Amino acid sequence: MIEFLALLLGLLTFYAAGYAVARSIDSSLASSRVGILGIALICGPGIVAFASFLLDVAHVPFSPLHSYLVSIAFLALAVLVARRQVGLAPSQFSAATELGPFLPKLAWTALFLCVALGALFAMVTPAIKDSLVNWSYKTLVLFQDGSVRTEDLRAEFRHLYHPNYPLLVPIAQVFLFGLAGTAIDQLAKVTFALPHLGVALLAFAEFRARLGAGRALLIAALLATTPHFYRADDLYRFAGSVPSGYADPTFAALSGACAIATIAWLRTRRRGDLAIAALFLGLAVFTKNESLPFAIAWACGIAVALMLGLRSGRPLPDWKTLAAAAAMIAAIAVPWFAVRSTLPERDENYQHSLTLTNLLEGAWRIPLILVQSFQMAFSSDFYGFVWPVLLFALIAYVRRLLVPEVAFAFTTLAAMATVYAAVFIVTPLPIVDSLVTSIPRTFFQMSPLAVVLLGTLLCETRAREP
Amino acid sequence: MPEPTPLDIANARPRRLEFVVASIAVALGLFATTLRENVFLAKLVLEDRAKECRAHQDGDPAYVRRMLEQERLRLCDNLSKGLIAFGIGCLAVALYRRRRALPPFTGILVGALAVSSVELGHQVELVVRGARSGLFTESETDHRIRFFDAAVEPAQIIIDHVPADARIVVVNFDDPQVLKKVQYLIFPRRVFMPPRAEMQFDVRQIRKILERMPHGIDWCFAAGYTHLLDLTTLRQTRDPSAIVELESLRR
Repeated sequence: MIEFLALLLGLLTFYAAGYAVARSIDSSLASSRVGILGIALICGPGIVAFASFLLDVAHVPFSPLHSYLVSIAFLALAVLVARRQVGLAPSQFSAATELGPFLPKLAWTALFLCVALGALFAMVTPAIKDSLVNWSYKTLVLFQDGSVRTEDLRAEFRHLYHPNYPLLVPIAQVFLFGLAGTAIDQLAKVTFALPHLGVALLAFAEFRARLGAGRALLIAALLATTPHFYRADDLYRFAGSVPSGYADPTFAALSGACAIATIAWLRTRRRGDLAIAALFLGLAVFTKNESLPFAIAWACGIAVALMLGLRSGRPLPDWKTLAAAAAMIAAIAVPWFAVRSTLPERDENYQHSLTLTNLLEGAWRIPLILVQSFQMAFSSDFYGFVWPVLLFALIAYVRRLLVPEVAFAFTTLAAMATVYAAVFIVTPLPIVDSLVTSIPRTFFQMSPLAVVLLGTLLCETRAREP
Repeated sequence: MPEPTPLDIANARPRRLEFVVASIAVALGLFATTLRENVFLAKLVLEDRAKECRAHQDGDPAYVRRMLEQERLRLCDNLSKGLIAFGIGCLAVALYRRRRALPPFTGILVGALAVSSVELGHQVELVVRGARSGLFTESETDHRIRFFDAAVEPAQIIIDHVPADARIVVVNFDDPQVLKKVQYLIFPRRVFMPPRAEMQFDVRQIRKILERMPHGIDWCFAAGYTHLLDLTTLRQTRDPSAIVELESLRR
């Protein structure tokens, strides 16, 4: 019972932290309740984890006292922010849409059912072996030793696997452990389901204004019902999903949300939208190493979109906006990289393997990678029909690729896919095993981006229909 | 609901697109279903999961082939189910669009949602089955088995972090230095590990260790075979004797 109460307090703290930040930034996404809820669910656990991390760096070790201090601080902050809030657009969860009365209800039901299933499976099924070693076990070590300065992350023999992996997900769970006073590893996994719901709500908030509530809801439901997010395999060998205990769902949601916020910024040019995007990206850096290729892909996407905007007469954003976004990312990334530089780098090092020689030597793998990718894209039990529908939309609306928002989403996704393919080309592991075990996760990480691209493709005004 | 504009109505004319997409999807789905049932399923014999994993441990190259065969079967199965759901979804909305001014592509989006819902149905079924078999209540007790692969994880660290209330730890790895350290560090906790470095527990040995423990286990650290100890997995190994054996070990 106490464990459940602690979990509830923890979830409330996550929401309070996300809410306080969302309401403090003047963005178009945070102008409606559904948008705020989306932002809060995605970045709440990350903000709390980052605050805990900073406290630990300042020599306040993880403990129940630490967790309660963080919790009280964020709850108080949320109350302060809420007291001075301005009016919000009414919630349109149940607003009538062009789809009629039945279909929206069905779509909302499917959306929430999938998230609920993900949360349920997360709480009752054990994390799979690999994620235990890389994530859950590290969480336990941090909780028991009370700090990221634990010897286990550093010493040569006494080591954890992948000691320099980012720590957002473990620390978010350590925070919950602290509230409960014990390692509630099973219950704490429910944290993984929050960003899954958040990114779907954020997609709905962004696309509602441009696609209409009905089709925006279909896009959001498509994102939430992507099976890889919520499902648990019969044998619980389903790497990457919410129940399996990996950090991938959090990273996928953060990168998808970053793309959504960037699209909002490209549309509105409100500084707050880019700041929200930068916040998501910064938290992604603190979540998984894949955020680094994503950051490069994101920057490429923005550059292409701005160039296309310039061509159609839209001015470049002022340097202050870009500088503020860069500062936001750096504020999260720099402390993490400072700590990371003290951790041993072992087990994998793809940055150093990505050389022209290695790429040429591994070029024979490209057909294998393409075949396996094609198979994965059509695995409806992993991704529903997201990828085939995206392909179909790209063919049908190919001319829309020159629209800045579409160009941004397409470039980011294409760049991410290219980097992942390059990693498979140079990996020292046997390629067949590597593809079978890793391709589902790379597709999983990109699937929110794919849905976002699909949404932007459908957003053009109908007068320009091909 | 707002009144449709002339542009909406023009766009909502019964388009051929969704009808065509739906027809092709249903046809392909039915074809794939037939193909699967008549050809693939007859040819492919699904290996027992445990046997397959053992083959993998031994480095059997047939493992990859079997895995890919299963992958192909799974893909075919999903494609057929998915295409049928997709077709029906598109078709329903294409028909619906005659009466309402729905924008283009809506049918395709609904079709895609229908495909995801096929998996949703499967997952709900899994919950119902799990609830009936006591799967969920079981994981809330102290009988959970937690897996770490000690072959890649120096066991000394693992042992250090065993909770104070852990009743039994099974350690199984192949590094003699690690073995020595564990033996030293774990004392006086009860730990089970192979007598010699080059000897690893096999499933039978681990079961025997478990049999001696009246209180079940909290943590299990072992290299290899760990997946075979998962209660959930064991239920599905189609080896009734193994299931009964482990069931009888529970408190």
